[in-house]
Amino acid sequence: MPRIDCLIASLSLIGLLLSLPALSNETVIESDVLEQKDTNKTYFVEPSDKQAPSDTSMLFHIPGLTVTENNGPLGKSEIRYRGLAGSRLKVDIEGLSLNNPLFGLSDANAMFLFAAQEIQASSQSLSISLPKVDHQFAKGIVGYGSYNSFKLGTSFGTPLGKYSRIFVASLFSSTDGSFAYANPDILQGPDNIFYRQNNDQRRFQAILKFEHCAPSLNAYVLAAFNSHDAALPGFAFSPTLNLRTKALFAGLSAGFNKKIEKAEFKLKLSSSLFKYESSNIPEEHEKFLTSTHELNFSIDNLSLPEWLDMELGQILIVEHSYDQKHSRIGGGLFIRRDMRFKGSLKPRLSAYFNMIGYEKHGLLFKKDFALTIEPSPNISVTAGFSRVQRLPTFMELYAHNRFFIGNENLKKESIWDFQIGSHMQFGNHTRLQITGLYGFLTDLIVYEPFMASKVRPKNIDRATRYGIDLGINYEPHKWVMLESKNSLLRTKVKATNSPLPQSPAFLGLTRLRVGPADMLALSLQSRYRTASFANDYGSKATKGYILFDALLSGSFAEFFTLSLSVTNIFNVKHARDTYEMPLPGTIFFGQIEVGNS
Amino acid sequence: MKNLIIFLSLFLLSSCKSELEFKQLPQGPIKHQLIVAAKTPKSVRARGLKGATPPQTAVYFEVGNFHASTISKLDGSFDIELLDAHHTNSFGLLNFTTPDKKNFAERYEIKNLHEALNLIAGPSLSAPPEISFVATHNNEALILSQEAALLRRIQINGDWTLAKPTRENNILLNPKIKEAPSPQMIEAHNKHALVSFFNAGDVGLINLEANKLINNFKLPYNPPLRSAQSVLALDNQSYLVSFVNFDPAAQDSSKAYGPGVVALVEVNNNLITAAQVLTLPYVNPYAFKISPTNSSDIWVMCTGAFTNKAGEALKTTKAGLIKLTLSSPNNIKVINIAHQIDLPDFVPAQFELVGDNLIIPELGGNRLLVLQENNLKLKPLEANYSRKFNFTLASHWHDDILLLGDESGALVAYSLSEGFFPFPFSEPFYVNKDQQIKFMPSQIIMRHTSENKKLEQDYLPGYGAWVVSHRQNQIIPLDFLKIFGP
Repeated sequence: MPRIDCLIASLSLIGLLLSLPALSNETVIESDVLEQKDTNKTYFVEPSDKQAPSDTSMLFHIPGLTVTENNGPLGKSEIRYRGLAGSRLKVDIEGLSLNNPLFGLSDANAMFLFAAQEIQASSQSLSISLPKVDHQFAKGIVGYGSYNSFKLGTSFGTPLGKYSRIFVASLFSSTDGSFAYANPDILQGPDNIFYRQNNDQRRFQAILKFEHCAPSLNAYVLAAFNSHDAALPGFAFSPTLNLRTKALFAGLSAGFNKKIEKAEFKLKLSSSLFKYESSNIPEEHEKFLTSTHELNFSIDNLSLPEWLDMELGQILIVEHSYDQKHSRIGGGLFIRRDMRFKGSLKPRLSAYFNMIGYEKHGLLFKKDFALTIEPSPNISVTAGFSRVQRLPTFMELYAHNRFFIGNENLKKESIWDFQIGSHMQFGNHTRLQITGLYGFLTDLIVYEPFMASKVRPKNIDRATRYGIDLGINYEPHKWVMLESKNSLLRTKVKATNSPLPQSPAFLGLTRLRVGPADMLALSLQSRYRTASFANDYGSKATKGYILFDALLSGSFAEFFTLSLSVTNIFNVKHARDTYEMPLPGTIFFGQIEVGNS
Repeated sequence: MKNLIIFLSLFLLSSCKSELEFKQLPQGPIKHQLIVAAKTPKSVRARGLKGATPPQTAVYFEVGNFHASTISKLDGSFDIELLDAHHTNSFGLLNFTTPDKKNFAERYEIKNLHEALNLIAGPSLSAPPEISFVATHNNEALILSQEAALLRRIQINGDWTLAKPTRENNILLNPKIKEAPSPQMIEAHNKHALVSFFNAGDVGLINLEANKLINNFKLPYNPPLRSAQSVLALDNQSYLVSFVNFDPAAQDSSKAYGPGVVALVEVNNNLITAAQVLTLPYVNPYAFKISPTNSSDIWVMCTGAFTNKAGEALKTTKAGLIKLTLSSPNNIKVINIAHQIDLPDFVPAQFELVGDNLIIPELGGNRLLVLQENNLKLKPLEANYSRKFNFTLASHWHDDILLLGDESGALVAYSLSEGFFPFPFSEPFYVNKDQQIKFMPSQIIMRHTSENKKLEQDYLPGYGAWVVSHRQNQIIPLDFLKIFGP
């Protein structure tokens, strides 16, 4: 069965590629791969974010986003954005969904952030964008640091002729993972130093994007591949010395836009495979293979007044789990409208409506609405509402193993959010972002105890979440920059009278850079968070912490960059993101970058 | 300014006062912790449980214009019901005249049981983040944390709350970071404690005075014993340890359980030696209980091999109860199987012994087996109660009354003589009042049992029991004086 999916995906891609020349003398159409919304916040990836061993460094700059490092910097890390994780948080790269139907998104290091240019964050999703290729560039990096962490990467982009461009990037990273940590439950001292065992990690990621932007046609092909072979060390003092996992993601997305008279037609096909295997001694194997295919076809009416854009489209989604032998097929439509009104406040309205019907689960809705005004040229204020529904994952529906029993009667879960936010710019040196959120989840799926030692998902009432994100960037001079991103969040699951797991009440990062980023710069940053809970009952807590990092980087002739990062300078060994999952002590990492970008 | 400082100081001092307030009971021969006055649908009833008064005490009960009197039984219990008095006052008078002609009068609040029962459970104690098993020993809570492989020793306060945990007394149970040992249970006696490790299949000996794990011992046996489950201290030197012999790699869960084994081990000079190993006729030996009527009799409950499949009710095979007898011919301790009881079509949960009765709730089910020890045929006295419960355990409270844990978080009282819901426990009461999700009670630890006392002895203010949920890592304390007492 997996071969059939690969075949379908390959044939679709070949078909699209073959059809490109035939369509090449049509009119220019603007690229619209990434869905834009006014309530989204855009976070740009800086060069310094890629000078640490982990891909996830960039994510610390997004207020409200928690990166839960379970197995050191290159291991599988969970992300939560304002309390949402897994299948509740949609993540895509250039429109290609990185969520799998089994778990949702389960690893922040598998988000291709090494190649990213920016991330757009809404209250319920993250969208990753690749760099725009408007000139030729090529870069190679090699880095080495503590715990034998090693990184080797390349990225290359070039225009191809007048209308086409290509971007290719790959990264190999590995570590032996044997880092030192301390136990926060016993007295600190020389006897309280232990080493994480069975934590080696090897990861290979590659991404390719080809775009053709001829006067008559806009088309693209995106291919992404992630392979992660790792040991799973288990809990700190209850290690699993022989447990290993392999995860593989392969995704392919292709599409084109074509204008015919007063209408613009868009077609996009995305397919992905996700494979997960674990093995242990004594012999225990677990294997999952899933595929997702999504077809979008839409029409943008170009004859509408200038102040109104409207797009109507259809969606077909097929998800299949091979080992569980279950499929689900959904089909529906979407409408997107953007309205720009005249007036001193320059009001803009954007609305998105999506309805997909599934045979067993009924209709699934997604609604977004946002109003933006600009009281002054440097201030914009946006108020928005969004509601998204998600289907239970295949694990939640059909799993049956020693720890987890699926529930085929699960209903879809809804996430509702109201947001109001403002972007402000003071002079050319200060930017301020503030966002208030109030939202709730209904028909919340929680995992309740089942039989003697298992859990079983169940729909139960609701959870609320509300909070404030605050971001400040202050750069009075090329030589000095101060950044502070903080979030306050309160969540509560009514069924358990507890917060959502891994959702600290206060979380943030503050960074000071001295020296110009493109010459010689020293960055000092602090990451901090209050206590959070590791389970659904609010009873298994992990204490808060504050860690300090430093990064020294020097660029020469805009072609050669040397950097040295020190993560957790004060060697705090007892900090933990989640219960019994230690964070490493100090990590040194040196990196050489050659090439232009 | 001076007044302001005094006011602020007083304000701060008052805010430091503990929020917990426990009822103070009058001292004397009347044990108010066993006396309740409450409304029923048609009456007001005053009841004294066994030991409430000295035998043959004259009891007078008055509520408004209604009154009645009785003489307490030889066991000190009494029961007075005032029909139609439930519409009258909220308070009544109980007067006791003991056989030595002394009078004791007390004003009793007439409880609304529906409200009062749900006040019994207090707020979750400030306990460690992970609670896999709790034992008490010399005013200390010994709390096992499975994932942290840690024993936390926490002082128990006089009101049976937990003192603030400190790191000084925590003991690492896997200091060499070997494969997850999975500590399962702990039993302490004098200066030693024994911990069973399920994954490692060995037992750990802890010296409580030195506050350290001395060593781990794998008992010499062929084939090697696996999955140490339960531990029972017999005296200073002798312990019983049960082994499940679970094979996690077995594809078929029903074949994952090897023969159940009980080992008699001796602790000498900080060493553990196996004195005797006994293979049981059933599998999955989960728990031990010493007979309250004969301390040489020890019951072993074997849960059986779980065979449930997706969508099916919980089932086990080869489940049963075994009575071991401990004897000491030539001063050498020996255990023998004295009797065994098959439990076909019944998945036993944590059982309890009351007098010569064995009370076995059905794990995840609605049935209760009550067997008489001296009548060892399988003879259920009570089964299939009409209300749907999913039992997890039984724990003896007082007299012939037990508390049964239901997985939802309800506690259900059962009396051997009266059946379900004996007065005043007339309905289930919940320990997870602000939750809609299963609490899964795993242990109920009675304070008086833990302190080797009888409930009719002088009452100490504070909580009377803990309900422990291993799944939720919580300890919920119970204050029975929300219904009992004046």
